[in-house]
Amino acid sequence: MKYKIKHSTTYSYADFVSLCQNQARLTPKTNRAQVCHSSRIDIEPPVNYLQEFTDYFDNKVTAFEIATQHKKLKVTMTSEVELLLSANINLADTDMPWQEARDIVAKPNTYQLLKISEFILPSQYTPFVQGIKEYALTSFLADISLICGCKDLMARIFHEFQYDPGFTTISTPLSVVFAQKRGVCQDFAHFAIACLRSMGLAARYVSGYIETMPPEGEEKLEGADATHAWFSVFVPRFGWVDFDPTNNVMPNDQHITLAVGRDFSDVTPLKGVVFGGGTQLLDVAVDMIRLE
Amino acid sequence: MYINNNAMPELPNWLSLYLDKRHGHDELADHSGLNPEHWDTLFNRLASLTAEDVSSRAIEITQLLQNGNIKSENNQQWHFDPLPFMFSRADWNTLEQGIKQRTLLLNKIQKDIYSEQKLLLSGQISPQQLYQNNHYLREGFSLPSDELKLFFTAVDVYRAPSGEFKVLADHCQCPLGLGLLLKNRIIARRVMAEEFAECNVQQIKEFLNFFQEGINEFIHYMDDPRIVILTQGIDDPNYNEHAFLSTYFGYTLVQSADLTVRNGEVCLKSLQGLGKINVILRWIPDQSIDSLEQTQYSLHGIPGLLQAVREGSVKVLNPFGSGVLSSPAIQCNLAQLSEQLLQQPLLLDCPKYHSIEDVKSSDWSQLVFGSYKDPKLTLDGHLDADKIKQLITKQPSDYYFQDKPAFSSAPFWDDGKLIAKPVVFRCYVLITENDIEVLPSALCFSYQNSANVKGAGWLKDTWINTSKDIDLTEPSVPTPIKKRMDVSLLEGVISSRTAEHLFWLGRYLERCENTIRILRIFIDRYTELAIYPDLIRRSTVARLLAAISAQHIVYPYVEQAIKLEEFDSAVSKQTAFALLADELRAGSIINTLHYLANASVQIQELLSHDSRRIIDEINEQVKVLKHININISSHAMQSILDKVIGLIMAFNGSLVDCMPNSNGWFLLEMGRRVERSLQITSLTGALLTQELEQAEELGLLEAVLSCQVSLVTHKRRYRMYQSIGTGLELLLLDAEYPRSLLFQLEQINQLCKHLPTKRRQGVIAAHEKAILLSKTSCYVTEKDYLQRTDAGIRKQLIEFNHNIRLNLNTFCDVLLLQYFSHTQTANKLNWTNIGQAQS
Repeated sequence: MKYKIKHSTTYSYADFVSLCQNQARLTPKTNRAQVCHSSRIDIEPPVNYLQEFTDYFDNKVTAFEIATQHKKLKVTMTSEVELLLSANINLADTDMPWQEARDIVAKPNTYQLLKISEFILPSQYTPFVQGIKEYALTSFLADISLICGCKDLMARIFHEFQYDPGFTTISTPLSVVFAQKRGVCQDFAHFAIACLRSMGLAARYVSGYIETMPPEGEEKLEGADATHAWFSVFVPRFGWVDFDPTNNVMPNDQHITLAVGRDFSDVTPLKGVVFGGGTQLLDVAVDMIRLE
Repeated sequence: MYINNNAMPELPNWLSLYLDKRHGHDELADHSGLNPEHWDTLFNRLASLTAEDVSSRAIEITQLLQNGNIKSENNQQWHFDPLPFMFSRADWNTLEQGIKQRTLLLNKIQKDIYSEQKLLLSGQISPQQLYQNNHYLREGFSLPSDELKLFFTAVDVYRAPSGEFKVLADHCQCPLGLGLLLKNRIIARRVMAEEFAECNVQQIKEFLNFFQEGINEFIHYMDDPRIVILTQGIDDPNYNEHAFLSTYFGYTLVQSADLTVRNGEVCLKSLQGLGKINVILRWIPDQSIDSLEQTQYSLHGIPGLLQAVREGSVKVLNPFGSGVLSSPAIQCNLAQLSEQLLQQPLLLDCPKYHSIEDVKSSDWSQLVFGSYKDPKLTLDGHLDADKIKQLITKQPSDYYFQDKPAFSSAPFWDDGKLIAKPVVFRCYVLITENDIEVLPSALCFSYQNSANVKGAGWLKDTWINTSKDIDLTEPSVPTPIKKRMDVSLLEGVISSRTAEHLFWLGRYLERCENTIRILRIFIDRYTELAIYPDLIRRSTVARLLAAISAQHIVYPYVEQAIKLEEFDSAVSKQTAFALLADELRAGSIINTLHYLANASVQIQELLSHDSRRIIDEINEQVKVLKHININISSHAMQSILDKVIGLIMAFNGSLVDCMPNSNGWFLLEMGRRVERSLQITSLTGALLTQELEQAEELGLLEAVLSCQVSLVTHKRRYRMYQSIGTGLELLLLDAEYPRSLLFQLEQINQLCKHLPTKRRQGVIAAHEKAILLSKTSCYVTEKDYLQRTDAGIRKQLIEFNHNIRLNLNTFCDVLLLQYFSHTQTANKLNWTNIGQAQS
């Protein structure tokens, strides 16, 4: 399954910006589940500096700077990604009880496990709020397998939480999301991650895209696809396995991964500091086109 | 016990009183060794001093400290003790070895943590504890590996009852106190010159040379390297220290807003434009150093700095991420880490750490309690026992206990006698290319206050005895000059911000001087009026009063016709008082002094010691002004004015010798000239534009000339022909007369030549055009033209003055835009969110 993705971010300013410094995490990853065949970043106005580097979590970062006066900044990432569909083929064989998975990451004995052990700790957006472990344990009774537990947790979040785009912002505390059982994909991902980590399991935040289908009989609108977020659990001797609590599915042929981290703050798709500018308007459009 | 066994004269009473008492474990009584030669020499020297002598030295130190004191975090003064601390050669050797080993070890740990993490994998450092420490900076991994090496660190040590030295804390980010130590040493050498010589105290100069050479190592191949000291600015409690170090080493002092990143290089926004920076000595913590890349957005961050470090275009010292070395996750295991990394036992350890479950006893009085996650949390095992009990029930593995340190004490001169206070020594370490150097002295400090003296704490200079014969033959080796660059290139770099402050300092100095002159003359005139109440005097005072209260002739120089009101002597007094001491009134003397002092703090690293002393005195005067009230006598006001103008003159005088133009000092002169031009136009505009009786006019002219210190010149030059016209000619149109408007404009024109040109040759810049216009109008105007009246008003004079004012304003605006405008603040973009469109 191959997709072409076009992701545009546009900032419009009230006043002139004399200088901006930015960092973008917009290049799709190449991993067990997908291959990024090509990627190109177009920036308007033209940059006077652009460099790439790989961050702590192995995401590709594009650092750039614009020193010419401008009132509008447009960053467009165009990429082609192939989903391998084979990622979870052998997952059925993995029936490791969750406690065993927990004990393995608690005592990292390889460099890889050491890196993974970082994902069992609470982070800025995934604090262990009151009652969260109890909530999580309901899905992890006795020696249920890790995968089954995660599926159950994902389904519970899907059924018990209400999808409500206006309700939260990035600064809404997790405790409010938990108490009100409302939010968007980002909140659900953070919540699920906090649940899993509170039990000692390694879970990470995934940012990416999801393909949307138009209602039957209608044509797909341009820019209607969206940036998305879900979570991923580390299964020892297998690897990272993704779960999308917003849609109650295990990503397979419609999810493309951009970046991973402890939580949202590690994977911000585009961030920047501007000099001047005044009030700003932000517009994001994503197109995800099936190529074959 | 201190044994006086070296054929010393009898100990003075003040000393033996101290030695006879027991003070816990004391440096002098318990730790001075069997043969305390190091103290003997000092006491031998001090033996002839009485208690009064020592007190008078303490007072001398206090006086020396008054100016430019480096204050503590909460803005309190340190007390410097007249008695130095003496280290024996043997003790110092032990300490030095220990510190070197510890620094080597920390350096190796830093390297491992930010690359291979072998120590985490082997479990010697707990990954969980480290990962949760907010000094562990993940951005460090994407930086070049040679950016990990420590450069300048400090370690706090104390002596345990056993006589061993123990470590209280490592400072691997921004080691504070070096400035304090230098200052302390300078004073100690002055007050105790003879003792210093006799005790063969090891000099610290060599270390400071190493410091500079160490920095030069990074840039030795460059032609025009620039080194800056990065501070948070005057709000930082340690700003004085940063400024002191900047002056001491000659590195430019900058704030985050002075720096910008372009094309992956860090640049200083200077008067000359953007200049590349090669080395940053950072005195701001690394968690908030890059407001773009780091999660914590900080106003003190420089967006893009880490990318520049990643590119290798700038060296940041100490390296990014070094704060983690002080975290308990690493500190608790240093002994083991030493065995592992150095194959040596650790010489200098900290008080023992205990995990919560290891502490079986419920008596925690000899322990302190801390958190692996939150470095700020420290609790006393005895006083905070309840709180600790609460905390450890939840997540015991997040916390630890540590043995409570038992500091040794040393004698401090407090209230006429020696008092024992617990002491800690802060030692400074430099990691050079091939070696580790320890500063042969330490900041010996005690936080214990006494009943009658409040302050930040007490400090002692620390003297390390060198063995005598070596010292005599050891010459002080001057630093070999390895630099190839042209030194003159380096001097001229000042930030646009500093340039702007210099300009304003010039304006405030001139404004203050002028306002004082006007006020003096005003007070003179209205007190005189009480004695000789004739009509002419009454008219002069009434006009001066109106011009002052409506701010025509004082800042902000309101341009309007004077509204005369009925003269009242009580109102005169009130107006005079308001101009002197009303903090709410713009342009009052107290306000101008306040601004003046602020501007000079901003550029204090460029000021000489004497200039800074005068600023301290000006601040004292501001305090005096705050406390006077309306009932003050005119006479008392005059004497305050005399005092302040004396200080301003002294400050001006102290600047003269330290003002090379290349450092931007010409801007101070420029500010001064601009302000004076404004004053001359406002004075003549407000007081001389109305046609009056000749005697009345001359009375006013006399007042105006006195305000501009030109009365005598005018009298001598024009004798019996004095008129408004001659006054205007002298004050406005005479190109040769140093107090005239035209002279100021000519000077400004000359000073503009020091500004870097941003235009092509042959084209005049906008600010120069404005000055040229004003100059020309002065040259082509005749005095009779200005003097001419129309319906009782000198319209031409009003228009002339108005145009000059317009041009001066244009000049200042262009200056701001072209040369000082780099002060734009950074804004954070609304970072894109996940699920922005829908999900």
